[in-house]
Amino acid sequence: MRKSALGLAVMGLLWASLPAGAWGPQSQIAIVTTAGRMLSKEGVAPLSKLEKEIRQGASLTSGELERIIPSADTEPVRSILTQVQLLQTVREAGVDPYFAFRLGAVGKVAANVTAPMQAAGPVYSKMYYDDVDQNITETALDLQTRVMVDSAEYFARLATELEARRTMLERDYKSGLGFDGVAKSTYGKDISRSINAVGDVWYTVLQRRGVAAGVSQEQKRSYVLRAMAFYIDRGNPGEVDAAHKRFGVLDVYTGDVMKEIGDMMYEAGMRERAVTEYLAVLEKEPERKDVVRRIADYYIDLADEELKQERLETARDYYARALEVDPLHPFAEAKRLTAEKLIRERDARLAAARDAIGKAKELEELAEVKASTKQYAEAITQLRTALELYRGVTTEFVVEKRAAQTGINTVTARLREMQSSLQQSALALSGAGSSVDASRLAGSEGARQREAIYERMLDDAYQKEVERLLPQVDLRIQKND
Amino acid sequence: MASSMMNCPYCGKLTDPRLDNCVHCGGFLRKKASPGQRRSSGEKETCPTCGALVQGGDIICVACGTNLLTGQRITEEQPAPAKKAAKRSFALPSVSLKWVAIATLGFLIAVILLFVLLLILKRDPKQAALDEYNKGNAAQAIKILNDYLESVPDSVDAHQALAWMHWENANYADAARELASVVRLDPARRDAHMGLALSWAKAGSDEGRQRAIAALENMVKEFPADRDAWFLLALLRGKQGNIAGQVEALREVALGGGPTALAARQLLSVGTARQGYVEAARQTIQQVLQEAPNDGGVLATAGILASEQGDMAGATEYLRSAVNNGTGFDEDALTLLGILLVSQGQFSDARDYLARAQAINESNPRARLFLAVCQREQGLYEEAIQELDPLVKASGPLAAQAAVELGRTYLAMDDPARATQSLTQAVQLGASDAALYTLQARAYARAGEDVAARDAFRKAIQADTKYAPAHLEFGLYFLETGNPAEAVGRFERYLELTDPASKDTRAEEVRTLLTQLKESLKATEGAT
Repeated sequence: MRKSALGLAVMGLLWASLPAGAWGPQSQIAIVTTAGRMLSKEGVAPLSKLEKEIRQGASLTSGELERIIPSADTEPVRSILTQVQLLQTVREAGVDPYFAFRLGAVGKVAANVTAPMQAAGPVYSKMYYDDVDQNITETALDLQTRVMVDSAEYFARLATELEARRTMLERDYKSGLGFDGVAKSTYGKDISRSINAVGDVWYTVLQRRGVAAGVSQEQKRSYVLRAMAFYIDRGNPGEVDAAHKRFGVLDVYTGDVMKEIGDMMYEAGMRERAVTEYLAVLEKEPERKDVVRRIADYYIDLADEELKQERLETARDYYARALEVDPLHPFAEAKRLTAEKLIRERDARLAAARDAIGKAKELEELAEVKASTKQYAEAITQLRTALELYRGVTTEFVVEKRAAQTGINTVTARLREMQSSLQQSALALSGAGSSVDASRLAGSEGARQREAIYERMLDDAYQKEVERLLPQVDLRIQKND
Repeated sequence: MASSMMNCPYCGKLTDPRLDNCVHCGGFLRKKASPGQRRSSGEKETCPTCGALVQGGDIICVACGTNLLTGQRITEEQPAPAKKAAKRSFALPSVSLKWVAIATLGFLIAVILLFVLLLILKRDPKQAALDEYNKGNAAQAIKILNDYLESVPDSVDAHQALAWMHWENANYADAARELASVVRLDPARRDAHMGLALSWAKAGSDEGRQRAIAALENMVKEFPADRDAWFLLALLRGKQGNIAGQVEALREVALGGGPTALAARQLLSVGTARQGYVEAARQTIQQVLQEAPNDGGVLATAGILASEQGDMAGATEYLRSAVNNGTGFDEDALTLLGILLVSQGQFSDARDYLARAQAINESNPRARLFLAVCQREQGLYEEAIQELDPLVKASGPLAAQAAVELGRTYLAMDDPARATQSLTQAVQLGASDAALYTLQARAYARAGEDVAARDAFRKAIQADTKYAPAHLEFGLYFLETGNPAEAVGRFERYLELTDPASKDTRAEEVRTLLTQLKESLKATEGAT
């Protein structure tokens, strides 16, 4: 027996609830952490590097624990032995973070099984475990040499000791003495018992070869899937790939498993990786229509997202790829045609926007020509039209919109200048009505001039006629009267 | 015995004054007393002129021809020295042969002389007058005829001979008087009628032309087919302003052929136009044009009629052709052509024609005025002033308008002081229309005399509420003086009164300005 008076550091982040009779959260963490460090120190395995995952496993709620280790509540010893066999088997794939996580989980069960107040009433057991949690940093530990946990015998040997302890503790708490009774002097032994038990279980897992016959393919498959879920959840693709590769030795990669892994990856957002997984499935099982559809859906999803981002050509290409993968896909063709239509419409709008910008620029130039001849009103009219054209360009086309915005800024500034100039130059309109005066004057004087000509014509004709007639008159007497 | 003889007051021949009637012509020499006469008592009186005995109630002294009531002599005693000489008695020479021969010779001479004298006495006085006239003794001839007419006042030939002499001497007033007697005594004498009309016409006065018209109207009653008479009548009526009468007379001539008919039709078109029947006039001149397509006068007439109808383009073309062909009144035609071009805003073209008109007659005020208008519109302000200044100083009929144009020119030169001076002068010369007041207002506004400017603008609008430029200028004034709300109202009124098709009015620019002003006012209202 080795004794150690190591002070236990308080472990943080303890929130998991434990069933009645189990160690308090701090005690629980302290037990598994200490067990891990103990084994590391003993050279069994460098578990201190995986302390985080161990604590994670030890912190599982009873519900989560039940999913990983069925019957952990109802038949804890048996479930411990089953887990030991499984872990011995999958250890072939390496002691990795998930493996440590599972060690934490089975450690939690082992610690609970070796807790002294399992059979006590819930009130007293809780009082005791709370007291231990509060005093755990101040106790010394009694760590023993590792032994193999071969069977339920291991835990049965501890049962008598545990029962005796429970009786004394319960009595103290019932009497009101509480932690100041026996507990204060024995809780270190109780903690040490659990640490040793956890250490022994892990030692058994890490030191002995598993009996493959005792572990079903389904168990291994379940382990691998949970492990992949674990890694996928951690979101480290490299870690995922590495784990995926390691688990290959367990020979559990059927098409369904790979598809399930692919689905997990897909759901976790590792879609390209998922598709690789699906393609791997198809290599194995080319007739898997569900996988084909899944790949096509992947491309459809990509296309939809591209469509949302208005990257129409990319969307169209993804729809086309989905169609290549799954020609019978119910939406792929329709969506591809929609994308084509949107591209055409967008191209038309783009052409219209460019045309509008071109026309607006022409109008700007015309306006400047008008302004150069001080025809500000006409120039302003041109600029207003240009402004309307620029404003018609939407944000759909970034380059064009930027050009239009530049145009709007220029035209707006120029409009202000020209409006000011217009007001100033409005005075140039003065005298515009003088053409009316010239016309009126021409009208009245023209009429007078016509009268003058009439008189002149008449006068000329008269003078001419008199001069013509004068010599024709013969007043000489032809005969006497 | 001779001393007891007298000349008959009717025939002028010697007769016995004691007889009641002349032995030659039967004219009474003494009046019988009648009841109610002034001197009915039978008392004897003497003539105040010759002292011869006259009876109470006598009017004329049978001895000397004196009117006893007025004291004037109605006839001049005809000196008849020859007759007197012929009737003079002489004594026989002493009896001797020598003296008999001398006496015989003397007798023969006396007989010859007497014969000659008789020939002279027996000669026709009208012929005598003509002879005298032909010898160059016009005064003597006229005197003879006048004397003759004293005794034979209804002698048509004498009157006509007298008229001829006056006519030949260009004494048309006296000729007219005599010819009036001729046509009264013998209305069938066509030349006398025409001579009478021409005589009065040559008198040149308004009364003379009026008498000429009366003569011709009388003539055409006698000679209704006389085209010369009708044409001259038409011309005279036209000159007297009787357009209807002119047209009526011209229609009598226009139907025939020849140059007179052509001229009549040309004038008929003018007369018809002046009566207001412009389309009919135009049709008439078109017919004339077919007969004389290159006649400058006819082309000009067509141009004038087109302008009467408002066809300025057609008028301009006709007048261009007319002045190219020569009209006989090129100065006037060129002036009218220039004015028509000004009315169409073709100032450059107009300027050329008006300069040509001025080259013909430098003092043509209308051509000068419009030449200045063209120069101003083309920015030749100094040249325009040089043309306008003399017109204003001359104080002629166009002086007021010239002063207005001078003011407008100074305004264009941005010289409000001189503009105001010219426009004030225009008022003194009688100008008082909306255009003048508007120009005054502009000049005042430019000089910063706001009160005077506002008053002048109001006077302009009062003078003619439909004078569009006044509203425009008033609006610009309001804009300049920081009252855009008032400016909006004026600009709207300007646009209501302005032909939107006319470029010269710059209506579209005003409309844009108005829109912007309204937007600006709206934005200002929103901001407040």
